[in-house]
Amino acid sequence: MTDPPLYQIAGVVLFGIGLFRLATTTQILRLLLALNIMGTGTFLVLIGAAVRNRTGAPDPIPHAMVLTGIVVTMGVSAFATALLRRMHATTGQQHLTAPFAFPEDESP
Amino acid sequence: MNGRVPARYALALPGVAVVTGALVRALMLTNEGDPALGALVQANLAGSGASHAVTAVLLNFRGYDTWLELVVLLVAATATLRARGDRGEQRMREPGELVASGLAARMVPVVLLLGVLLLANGTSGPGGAFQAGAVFAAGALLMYFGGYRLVLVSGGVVQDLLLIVGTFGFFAAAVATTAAGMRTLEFAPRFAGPAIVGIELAATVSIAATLLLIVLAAEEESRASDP
Repeated sequence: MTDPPLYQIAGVVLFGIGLFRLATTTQILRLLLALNIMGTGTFLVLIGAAVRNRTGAPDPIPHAMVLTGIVVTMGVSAFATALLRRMHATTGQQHLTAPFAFPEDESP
Repeated sequence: MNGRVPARYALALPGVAVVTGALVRALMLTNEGDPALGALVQANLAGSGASHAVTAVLLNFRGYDTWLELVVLLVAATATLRARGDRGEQRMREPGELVASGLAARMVPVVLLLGVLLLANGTSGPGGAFQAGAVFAAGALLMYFGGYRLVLVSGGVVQDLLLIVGTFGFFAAAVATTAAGMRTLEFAPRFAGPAIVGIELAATVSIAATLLLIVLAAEEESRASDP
């Protein structure tokens, strides 16, 4: 191992931050944002993998995968947000309910 | 809120730290790879119809994945439009400060030119259908927030056609290549350039329409819930 892959480590840290929020909140918009951050972390890992090869020339295939991933993330986030709006308009709820709700008082 | 940290934080933090640490360790353990596929892309770049490697991968070598990506966008647009409330008319916005001062109106032609530049650059450099589509959608939204009515995305057959044309572009290419006896979406080198340009044009239209409608759907819904 020569240089530490900083982009990839940053990507993994982002993934961890998103994972932490995913595990500790029941507000749906925050869950969506946490998943987006986890996805962004994954993209960083892929981009970092593109130059991490023997020749040092950037490999275009992880770049193409990340471009596709960004577009798909955007589409899914848009639909999830629309669903959340419908849910809030219909039921007034924006939290996960039992059995996914946390037993104690709501988080910040 | 009291000063105690909720129990779930105390439970989640060690678990997440362990997972993150394990992933970082795994990263450090992987060694420099052999870019075999990357070399293959470079070797075949000349007859691929694009001189930028990422565009060649997206639209030629892995065109099937991009086709399905356009289908994902189509599904997202359709689902988002269905998930809103009653089908309101496109809301006429009051022109805000930005447009009252003429700034937005002056920006829109520049934004459109930038979109065209990104699209034209896509085969030989960073750019292409998705970037250009996003820029066009932003320009259209500038017009919308400036009080103009966007006729093309006001519902009806025209809107549906705009959403579909990107997916259809790939479909037409697939039909053409299969009917010509080659493997599906395998472009012969002399047709690859025009095929990529045509697909990118169609995809740009669809992407711009999808992004535009996703924002407008939220606008119409908030109109329906306004008193």
